[in-house]
Amino acid sequence: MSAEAMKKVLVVMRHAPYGTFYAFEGLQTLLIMGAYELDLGVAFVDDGVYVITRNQNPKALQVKQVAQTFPALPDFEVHRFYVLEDSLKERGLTLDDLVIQPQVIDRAALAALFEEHAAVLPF
Amino acid sequence: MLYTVNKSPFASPNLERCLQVAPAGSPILLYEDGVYAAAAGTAFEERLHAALQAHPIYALQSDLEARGLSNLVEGVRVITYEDFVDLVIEHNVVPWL
Amino acid sequence: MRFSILVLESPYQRQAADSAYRFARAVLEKGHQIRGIFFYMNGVHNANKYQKPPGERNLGTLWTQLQQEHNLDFVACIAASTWRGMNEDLALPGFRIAGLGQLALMIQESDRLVTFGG
Repeated sequence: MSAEAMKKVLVVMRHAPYGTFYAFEGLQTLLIMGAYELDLGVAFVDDGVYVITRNQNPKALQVKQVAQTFPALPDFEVHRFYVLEDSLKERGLTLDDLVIQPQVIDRAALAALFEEHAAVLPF
Repeated sequence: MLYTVNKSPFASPNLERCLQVAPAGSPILLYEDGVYAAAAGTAFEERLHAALQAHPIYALQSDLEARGLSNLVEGVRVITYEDFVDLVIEHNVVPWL
Repeated sequence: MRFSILVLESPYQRQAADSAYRFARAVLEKGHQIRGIFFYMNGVHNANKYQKPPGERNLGTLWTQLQQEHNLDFVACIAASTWRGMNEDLALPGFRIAGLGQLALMIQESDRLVTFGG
């Protein structure tokens, strides 16, 4: 199927990892759905920016580290990454604090991004 | 896009965050605990008034009734699930959970 | 118009699953189609056949009735089910347990995906 014909799906991460399971399940969705002829993007918004911060160590919680899988997502046909600028700023974070380098977008760009997608999946 | 919010504005910043992103003109649907934002006489009323200048704001009737909310901020449109379906047909959805 | 619905919450803890059910009913009553309903995360508990709320709506029964009336495709995510101990033996009639790829297909074959959760 051509890229033009593929439906665009945006996973929006708005929850921090570990406190809830949303980020982990959003990641599973990205890992699986890339195999199904969908044009996948992921946007990190609000506490969702904490999903991809460096130095996560949930060893004592006996759960998988969430951030470490994101750099591998292009191998799973996920190629578009976005982060909301204000969400980074509010949390005192910069791109240097993240394990990947998403495109930094403002709120208007995020709203425009929603418009481009056939489905928005909240996690 | 139709932005849907299901949390009370007193318990969650979701509605505020959603209002910061939703472009002027985008409809906003309040449902579940989101309908508390539509109640008149609360500390959020002024914020909702301002939001109503930029957005059509809808609140789900059955969720309002369940919570005993009938005195609503002027301009909020009360709708049924059938109307909710029509809104989704007209606009794709951004669920702001 | 053709809809699919994603349910992320169990019954009886949050309202989300009830909202999803009401929305699905309204879609069908208005004469539209539902391509499928995908139950993910704690949403897989909707499929549990042993749920028994005393004196109130039984969401499992309501889902099953809806599925049977309209021959809908109800899928509980297999990974989320495995994590939570849901399986074919525990599942209500009308629910099948399958992978996230089914959600991808529902998205491909629908005009709208509406998510209920949180």
